[in-house]
Amino acid sequence: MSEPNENPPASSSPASSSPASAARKPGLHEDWTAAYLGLLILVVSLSLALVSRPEGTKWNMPAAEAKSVEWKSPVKGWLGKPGTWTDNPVDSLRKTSEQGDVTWQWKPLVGAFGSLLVIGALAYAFRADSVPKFLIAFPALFLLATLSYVMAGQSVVKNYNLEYALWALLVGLVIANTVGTPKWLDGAVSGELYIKLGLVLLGAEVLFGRLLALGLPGVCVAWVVTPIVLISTYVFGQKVLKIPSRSLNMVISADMSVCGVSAAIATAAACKAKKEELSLAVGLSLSFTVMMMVVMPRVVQAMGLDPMVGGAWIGGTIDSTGAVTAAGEALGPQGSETAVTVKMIQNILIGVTAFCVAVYWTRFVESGDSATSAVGVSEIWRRFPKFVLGFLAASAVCSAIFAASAFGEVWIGASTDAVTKSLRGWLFCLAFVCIGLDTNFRQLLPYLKSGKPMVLYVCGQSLNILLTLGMSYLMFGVLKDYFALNEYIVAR
Amino acid sequence: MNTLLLASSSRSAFGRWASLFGCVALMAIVWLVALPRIARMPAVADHIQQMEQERIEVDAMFYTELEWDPPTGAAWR
Repeated sequence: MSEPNENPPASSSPASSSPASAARKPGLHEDWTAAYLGLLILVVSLSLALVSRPEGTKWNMPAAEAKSVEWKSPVKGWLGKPGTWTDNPVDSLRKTSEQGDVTWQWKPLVGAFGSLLVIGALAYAFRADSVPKFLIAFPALFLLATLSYVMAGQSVVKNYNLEYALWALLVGLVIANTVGTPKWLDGAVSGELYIKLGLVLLGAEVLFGRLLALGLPGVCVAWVVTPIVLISTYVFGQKVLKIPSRSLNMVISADMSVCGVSAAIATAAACKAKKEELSLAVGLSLSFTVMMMVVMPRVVQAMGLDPMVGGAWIGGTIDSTGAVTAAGEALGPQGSETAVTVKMIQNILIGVTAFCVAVYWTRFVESGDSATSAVGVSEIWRRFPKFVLGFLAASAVCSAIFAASAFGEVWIGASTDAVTKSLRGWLFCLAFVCIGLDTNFRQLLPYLKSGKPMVLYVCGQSLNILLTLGMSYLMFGVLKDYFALNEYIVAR
Repeated sequence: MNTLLLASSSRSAFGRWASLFGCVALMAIVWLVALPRIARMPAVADHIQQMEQERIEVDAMFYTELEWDPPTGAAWR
C-alpha cells in the first residue's frame, strides 16, 4: 500500500491489520472475533425481543395489525447515550418532566457500560489478550467516550450535525498529544476491534427490503449515481491528483458518495486504511455536511425546483443521514419524505460498497499494480477481511426476517431499537477515542499540507451534485407522473 | 504509540500537563460559554427549536437513528 509521504511515522498503522501479520498471534484473529461476537450479540438481541413478544402476535399476522403492535424488548431503556443539553452538561444525564420532576438517566449508561465491559472482555479472551488489563483500562476509556457523547449532545453541536466521532477523536488527540496516552490505558485501546464489531452490528440495520421504498426512481438516484461517483472520484484521485495513498482516496470517495461517517468507517475497515486517513475523511465529510445542510435547501428554493426533485437531490448528495433530514425539512412534507427515503436507500448501499471494496483490495491493490497474474482463491481468502462476512451475514439474516412477514419486520425493529443500535454507536465512539489516543498530530500534517484530499472531496462532490441533480430531475420530475410518485408520497 | 511517547517525553512534565490544562480550558470555554451563547442567537435558536419540535435527529449517522417510520415500498411490489 502506498504511503502519504516517503517517511511515514513509525506508529502509522492500518486501521485494520492484515490477517498475515496477526496470524502469528495466539487466539482468534480479530476479524473472526468481531464476526463471531457480533453475530452472538445479534442472536441474543433477537432472542430477547422474541421472548417478550406481545400477546396475540403471530408469524403470519396481517401487516396492518403488526403496525399497531407495541413491541418492546425487555432490555429497552437499558442501553443508551447521554441526552441533549444547552447550558449545563449535567442536563444530558437527567430528564425533567413537564411538571418539573427531575429523574436521573443512569440506567442506559450503566447498562451500556456493563454490556460493553462483558463484550470487550469476551473479545479480549477470544483474541488471547490480557483480560485483567482490559478490565482495568476500560472504565477510563468508557468515561472518555461518555465525555465525547456529552460534547456531541450540546444543542448547537447536535443540531448542526457535528457528530460524536469528531469529538471522540478530539478527546483522544488532546490526551495523546499533551501528556501522552498512559501505558495502563493501552489495555483497552483497540480501535480496530471496536470498529469491526460495530460494523457487524450495523449489518443488522442494513435491510435490503428497504431498497424498493421509492421504487425504480429511488434506486436510480441512490444506486446508479452513487457507484458512478464513487468510481469516478477514486479514478480521478489516482490518475489526475495522483494521491499517493489509495486507501485514503477510496475512503474519501466512499464517504462523499455514499453516506458520510458510517460509509467511511466501513470502507476504511474494508480497505485497511490507516487510522489518520479515516480521521481526515470523517473531518472533511462533517465540515462539508454542515455547509451543505444549510446551503442546499436555499439553492433548491432559489432554483424553484419541485420539492420531490429537490428532496431527491438533497438525499443523494448530503453525506449524513441526520443532515439530510434537517435540510429536507425546509422543502415541506413531500420533499422531506423523498430526501430521507433516498438517503435510507443509499444507507443500504454501505454493505455492497464494503464488500466490493474488500474484494477489489484483496484481488488488485494488495497484489500490487504490476501483478497481472491471477491471484489464487486461497490467497484472496487469506487476505480478505473476514469481519465483512459477519457484516454480510447479519444483514442477510435480518433482511430475510424483515422481508418474510410483518411480524419479522416488527421483531427486527424491536431488537435493533433496544440493543444493536445503541451498542453500535458506543463501539464506534470508543473506536474514535482509541484512534485519537493512538494518533500524533504530525501524522496528519502530510495529508493537510498537500491539500489533495480537500481537492478530491470538492471535485467528487461537484460531480455528485451535478449527476444527482440530473437523475433526480429525470426520475422525480420528468417521469414523476409515469411512476405515480405524487400519489405515493401523498398517500403516506 | 512509541512515537507519541517519544514526542511527549521531549517536553517537560510540567509543559505536558500545562498543554493538557490549556486544551481542557479552551474546550470548557467553547462548550460552557461560547456554544450556549451561540444557541441563543435568533437564527440558531430558531433552527434548534424547529428541529426539536419536529423531533429531527440531526446527528443521526444511519436511518435507524431517526424517529421516522420508513416507507415499506409496498406500493411498488
